[in-house]
Amino acid sequence: MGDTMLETRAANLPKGSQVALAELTDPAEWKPDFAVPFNQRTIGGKIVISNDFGDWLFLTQEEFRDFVEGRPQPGEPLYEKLKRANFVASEIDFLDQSLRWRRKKEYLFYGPTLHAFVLTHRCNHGCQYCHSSIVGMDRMDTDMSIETAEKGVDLAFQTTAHGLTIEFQGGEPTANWDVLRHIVEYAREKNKTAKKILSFALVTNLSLMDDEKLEFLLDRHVQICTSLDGPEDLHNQIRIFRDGNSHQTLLTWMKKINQRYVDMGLDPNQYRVEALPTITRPSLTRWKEIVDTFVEVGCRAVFLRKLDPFGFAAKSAKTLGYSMDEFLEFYANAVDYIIELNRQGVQVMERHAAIMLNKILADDEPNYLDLRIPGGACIGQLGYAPDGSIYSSDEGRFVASMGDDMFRIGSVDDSYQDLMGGAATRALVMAGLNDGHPDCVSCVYKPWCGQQVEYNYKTQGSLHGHMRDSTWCKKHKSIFDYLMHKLEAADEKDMEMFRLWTTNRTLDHFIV
Amino acid sequence: MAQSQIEQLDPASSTLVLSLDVDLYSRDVLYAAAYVFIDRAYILLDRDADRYMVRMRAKQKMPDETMRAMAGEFENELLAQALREQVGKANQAIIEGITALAISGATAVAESHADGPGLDGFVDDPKGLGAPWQNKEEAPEG
Repeated sequence: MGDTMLETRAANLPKGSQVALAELTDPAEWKPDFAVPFNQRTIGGKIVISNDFGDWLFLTQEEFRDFVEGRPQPGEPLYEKLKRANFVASEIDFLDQSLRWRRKKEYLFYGPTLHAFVLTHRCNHGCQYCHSSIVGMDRMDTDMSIETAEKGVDLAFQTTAHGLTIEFQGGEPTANWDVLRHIVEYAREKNKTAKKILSFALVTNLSLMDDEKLEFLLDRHVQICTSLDGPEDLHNQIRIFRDGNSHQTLLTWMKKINQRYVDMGLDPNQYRVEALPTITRPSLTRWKEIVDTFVEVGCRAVFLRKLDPFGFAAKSAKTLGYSMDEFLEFYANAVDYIIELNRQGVQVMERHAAIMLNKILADDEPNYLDLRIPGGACIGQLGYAPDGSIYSSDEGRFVASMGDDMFRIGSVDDSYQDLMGGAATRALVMAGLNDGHPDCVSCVYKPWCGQQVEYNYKTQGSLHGHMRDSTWCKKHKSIFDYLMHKLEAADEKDMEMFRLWTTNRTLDHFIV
Repeated sequence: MAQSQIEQLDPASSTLVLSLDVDLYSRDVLYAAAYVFIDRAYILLDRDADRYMVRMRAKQKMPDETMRAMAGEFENELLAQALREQVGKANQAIIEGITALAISGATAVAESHADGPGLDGFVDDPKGLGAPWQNKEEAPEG
């Protein structure tokens, strides 16, 4: 497909639809004992079925009718297909399935791995969608102190997880450089006895970077992540940098850091500055340029993130916002283009799609906190505010920045056991289970989807929300539908490409 | 009598009174639905014979159609909460089991961590929540 066609194509996001069994089969003929519990949905002319183990199949309408009516006999192709995919109740090896469940739910057996430290609310950018309670660079009273930072690190090290990632956020976290430095050194020292799989990640706009800071970060193996919204005019329109050109500064440093990784002998296919775009209204028609920008700067993945309902993003909704349908149309256009680039030999993937395909095709659980059951609130991540408050997550902190402390579960002065065993954590975990949601329990995408209780609360007023008119549900269900249509139509080459997207490489260099 | 109905709607005072059949929704469902609206309205729950009375006074002035929409949203919220209560009860064992496992996993003291995770990567599990059911059944009592 040529570029012109891509640009002018009417973006029709292929949709699936919920289908009742009685529409396709005669209830008098049902044989409920034949099958394990399953859900179904029409995709194109076929019906996709899934079970709670995470298996799935495309069936024709005739095959589906035979399946529901329990007609397939051992030795017949349909029976064997259903048996291999664990849909025949009498053929299930429950020990195998329980071990499989345990492997995919491994995150239930340990505490939070991601610990996001907000080092300051100061920032030199005035990004229109920013989540945080941003203040001017002179407001040093919003910095995290060394004492609070040490208490936070002490708390983080109490997690029962073997892996521990300390992520630096802001504001612009490098504005509080001394505390950032101190946390890295303090945590590394603690880890000499704790022996966790420790890693650091810095989320920065790179505008305060200098050679000395960079050498420290490279020497201490701190992964560097940044925000890149696309081509220069689009990026600078949204990410307003009072002291210069945000886009140029960003690209200069990205290039320099990527070159330093090469100089250090690291594989440039794996070790790059991670960059993430946030999609705003001006982005919607510019999907091709956004993807091209990421490819040009050497990114292997584009995470097409929708504007979220927190913080400044909510205040700017009128100028930057859009409907979920508009986002999904953008998404389909962009991923269609990414697929086309892959067919031309360009290695690039979309991160949402990769996470979902990981679950669907690779039977893996990438532990992406926004799309797992239960969600990542408290038991997957904790957010540390400059004043020492502990939040259920980054999003919980965003809600707090809007004046609502609903997700503040304690402070660095509390004990880890009290935080994890407290009523708030229990409530957030329970609310983050799909098994308690009316629409989720009958959704074909249940084995791979997840909840974010903070999003439910912010958009629908309760931790549980209701998925029937939830934009969270609509977004994920639509992307699953889109991918299922792609899988249904994929030839062997496309399947190879999608499987490549599910490849996970551990970035060992960033493990301290 | 209708299952739920608008008893009073006064745009001048932004006040809306809904009545509901007490047999249709449990009190827990009513509380849960009402709670969702406390950022938009001051809410008083009352009862008149076999009807729940829900008095909502909007925090900001609302036109007639917005108040009617809020009444509709309240009714939908009641249904969503009622169904969630049913689903929650049906799946109570699963929900409690997974929650207990998650909390136990997050709080258990993992002594083996200093030497790396165990062969299967799991932390200590003093309550045996992570053990396969078969093993539990085979384990001697006491």
